[in-house]
Amino acid sequence: MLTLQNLSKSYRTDTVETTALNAVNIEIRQGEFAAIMGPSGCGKSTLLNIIGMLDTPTSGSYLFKGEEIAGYSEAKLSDIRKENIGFIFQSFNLIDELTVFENVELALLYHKIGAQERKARVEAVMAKVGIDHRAEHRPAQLSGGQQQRVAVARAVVSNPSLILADEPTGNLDSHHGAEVMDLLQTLNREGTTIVMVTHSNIDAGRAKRVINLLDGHVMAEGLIKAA
Amino acid sequence: MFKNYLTVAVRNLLKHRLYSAINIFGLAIGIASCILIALFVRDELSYDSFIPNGERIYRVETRFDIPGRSPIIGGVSPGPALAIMLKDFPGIEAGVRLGRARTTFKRGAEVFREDLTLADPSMFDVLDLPLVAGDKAKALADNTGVVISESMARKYFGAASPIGQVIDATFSFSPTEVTARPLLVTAVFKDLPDNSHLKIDFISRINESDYEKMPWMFKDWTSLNTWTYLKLRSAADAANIEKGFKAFTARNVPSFPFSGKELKISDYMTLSLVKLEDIHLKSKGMGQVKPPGDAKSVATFAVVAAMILLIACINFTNLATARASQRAREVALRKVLGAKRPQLIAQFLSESVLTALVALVIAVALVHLALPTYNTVLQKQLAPDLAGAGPLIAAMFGLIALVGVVAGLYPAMVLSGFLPSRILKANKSAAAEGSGRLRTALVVIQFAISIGLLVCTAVVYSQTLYAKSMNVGYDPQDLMVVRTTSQKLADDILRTLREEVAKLPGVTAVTIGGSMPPDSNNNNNNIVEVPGRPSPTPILLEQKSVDYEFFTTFKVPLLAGRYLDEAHGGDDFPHGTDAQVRNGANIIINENALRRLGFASPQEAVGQQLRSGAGRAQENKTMMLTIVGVVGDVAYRSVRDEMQGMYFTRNSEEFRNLVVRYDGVAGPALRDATAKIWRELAPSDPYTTQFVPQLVQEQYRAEDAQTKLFAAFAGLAIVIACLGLYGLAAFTAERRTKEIGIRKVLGAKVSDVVRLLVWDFSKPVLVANLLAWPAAYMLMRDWLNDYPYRIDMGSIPFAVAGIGAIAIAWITVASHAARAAQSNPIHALRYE
Repeated sequence: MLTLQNLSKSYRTDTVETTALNAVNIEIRQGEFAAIMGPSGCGKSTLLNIIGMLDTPTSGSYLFKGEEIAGYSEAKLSDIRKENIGFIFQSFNLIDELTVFENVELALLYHKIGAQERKARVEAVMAKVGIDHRAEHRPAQLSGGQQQRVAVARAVVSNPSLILADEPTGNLDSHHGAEVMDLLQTLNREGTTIVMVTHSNIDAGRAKRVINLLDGHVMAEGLIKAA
Repeated sequence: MFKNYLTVAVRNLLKHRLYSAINIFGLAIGIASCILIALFVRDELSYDSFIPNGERIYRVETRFDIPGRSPIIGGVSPGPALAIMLKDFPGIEAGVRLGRARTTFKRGAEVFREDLTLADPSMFDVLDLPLVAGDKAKALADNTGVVISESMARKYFGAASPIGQVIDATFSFSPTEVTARPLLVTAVFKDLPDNSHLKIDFISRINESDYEKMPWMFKDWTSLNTWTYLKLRSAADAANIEKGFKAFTARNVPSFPFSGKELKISDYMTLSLVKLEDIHLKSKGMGQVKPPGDAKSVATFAVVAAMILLIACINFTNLATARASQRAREVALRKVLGAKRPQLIAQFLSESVLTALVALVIAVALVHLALPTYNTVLQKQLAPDLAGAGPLIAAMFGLIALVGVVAGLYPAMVLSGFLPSRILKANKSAAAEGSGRLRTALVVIQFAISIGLLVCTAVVYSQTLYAKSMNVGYDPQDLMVVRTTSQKLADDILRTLREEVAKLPGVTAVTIGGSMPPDSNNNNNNIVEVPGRPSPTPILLEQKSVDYEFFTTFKVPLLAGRYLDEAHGGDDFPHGTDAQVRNGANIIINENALRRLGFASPQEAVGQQLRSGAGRAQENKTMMLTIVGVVGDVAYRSVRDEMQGMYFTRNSEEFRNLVVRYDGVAGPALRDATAKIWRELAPSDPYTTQFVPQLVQEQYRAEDAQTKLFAAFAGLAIVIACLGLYGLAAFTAERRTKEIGIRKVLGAKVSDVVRLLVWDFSKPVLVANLLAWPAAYMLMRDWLNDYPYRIDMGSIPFAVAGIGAIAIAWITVASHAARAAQSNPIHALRYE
């Protein structure tokens, strides 16, 4: 699915250069469920942003489905992202002004999909994550777990082959967290590749593979048996 | 997709009510001001566009440049000019002269004083007024026909067909007689629109032989009583024809000998052409039928409109960028979901256009509310004629699109440029730091404009006040004028009327006379010289005919010598050229004439003699005028015109008006009492009175309207700018909650924090003052230069505007600052 080779990312301010990722080599295959772990500041989020094409590497190679995308323009990356990748965030990032339905639908608006089909797909995915009875509510009227399920619905409604989740349970209690992890596992079983950043060993335990990062390096990798 | 933009836009507007209200109302006021001013400007620019072939029609204007005094200019031209022009200039296709006749028309028992327009039969070849009945070719066949307007047809004949009806009219074809002449209605024309420099109710044919006893009406080159309109051939060049006028006047305007020299009038006289559509805005001086417009104020108001709109757009831009952080997450998310930058720009632009559209709806309502007052101030009948006004609607939507794009473009660029990877992590806000400086700059611009407008208002107001309170040389309070319609009537009743009115209670003085102030006509100019003191250039003095009691009734101060006095037989101006040459006359001069003639003091002038022409210029006779007194300058016109040298004679042939000074009685009561006497003396003549203070005010109507509008629009500009500042202050107080919390924890008092915030907002206003003052100073210096009598600008308008703006800004931000400063720091710090 994607291959990172010798990939580095550094941030530069006027006086200081900070290296967030240092010559990282990672390969993620189709159908994998990988968890990225590591202490704060180790580069987890930077890595996820680069994989998600929200950020570009300073050097190195990023092959996505066999295509080198390291030097692509923002517009081109946007097209690849739109077709292939769904995002889930720790803080949900739902738009307060839109209803649950509209938030999920937003992911389809930038694809050329007719209104009829949009409605059908949004309703199907809402039913799948169990929030169809909340379609006309605003995010502020939902519990955290429900909000994150809306976010998951939004991430998967466009049928991405890769889902990137940045601490998806970080703002949830364990009960709601488990519900969201169940959803992700189901999606993975149905064939979606998932890369997840997490602090939680329990969540990481759900993944098939754990990548440990420290100070921008990949420290250790262990395949973990599917639960 | 668009529906989604709309949803987000509408919900955003509803969620942030304060910002939305500020944006929408600011824009609405801005757009409303713009529409109001645009209506005014459009009206001013549309004058006379209803006349066909207007691009080929010109009016001949006359200017006399006499050294030592301001030039005499006017839209009138010599009566004999047209006939010769038509022969001399092949480029002229047709021409018409218009004149005015004082008439009274009878309808049943009622008598009306009407202004009859006299015209050559070529009238409709040049000024093709649309007829509703009758035949253009025959309408002015002879001097017994009259063409009347639709509204006059209604007034005189009601629903009956006016064609073929007869109006009993009386004319004054000589100074001493009244001629009755029935006029047959031959045609009816559509009422002229308001936006025409012409004011025509009745048209009758000029018949020069009617005026044999008043030959100056149409036959004199220096007595200007006609307006001349030319229609040029399509290929003709107006500038070329105008060039030919110099030689034309040299060929045709007669010169006459004066004190042994041949005085060539044509050396001082310039004829020029003004395009029909430019007459309203560009023609100046005497002979304007309606108060003319002013190209400069039209341009000024157009600029003011643009500035007010700019201020409102700045609010929009400022508040949108200030609020950018609140939209950052949405932008980032849309990007994550695949939105490209142009799509986001389109989204934010459509949002601002939507806001502008809502503002437009409110603006249209505001315009409707304001229009009656606006029309009263401007004395116009402006209306947004929405029916069949495609261009107007198109223009409005164009304006909205423009406002939306101008105001929304920068925020759209900023917002769409956010990097999602920075923002989505942990809901970080992403206030664009660079935009803070831009916001400050924009606030400076807003306040610079507002302060500039305030300074201009203050200067215009002070100048108008100064003009109105300037010493006019007499006491205008408690004076009433009664006017007669013909010299014959005046001769018949004026003296009896004076005796009777003098007996009325409360009347302290009565005088009769010819031209008495205020009087905007600039006529009866005579060339004089002091024997033995040759002047290199002719000295022109205005001659005013007044009775003995004029000076005491008007309270004109005497500087030397004596007033004209019945006890001195020689004070009566002789009738007839021979008597004038033989006897000479006694005169009073004003201070200005004193200087012009070169006398060192009033005392020196008394007893001196002047030589002046006697009778008509062609007669070539002179007479001696003896100065018996010197009085202060009397302002006949407004202070926009310089005071001129003048002398007063008692020429009873010109007495037409009566002026009453009263005390201890109400003006209207006196008017009614006088009316009673009038009706006994002249039951079939209309009675007209005016009060001098009102007439004086009337001269300042244009300035008054300008001042009011300036003040109103400057006020609106400030209101809009403050709305923006209020919004920014609210935003800043919110954003700096944490900083304020920390400061308070560290020991800052509420007053310290308020001072900090208020000072932050005062800085841009202070800088705005520094920008506005020099600009306003230069603008106003130019404006004041048009006034011969003007105020010294001084520093007061600047101080008033500057301090006013800062005070308003303080009041605007203080409440937010106080609220922010009083909040408990614990809440501020715990919350992040």
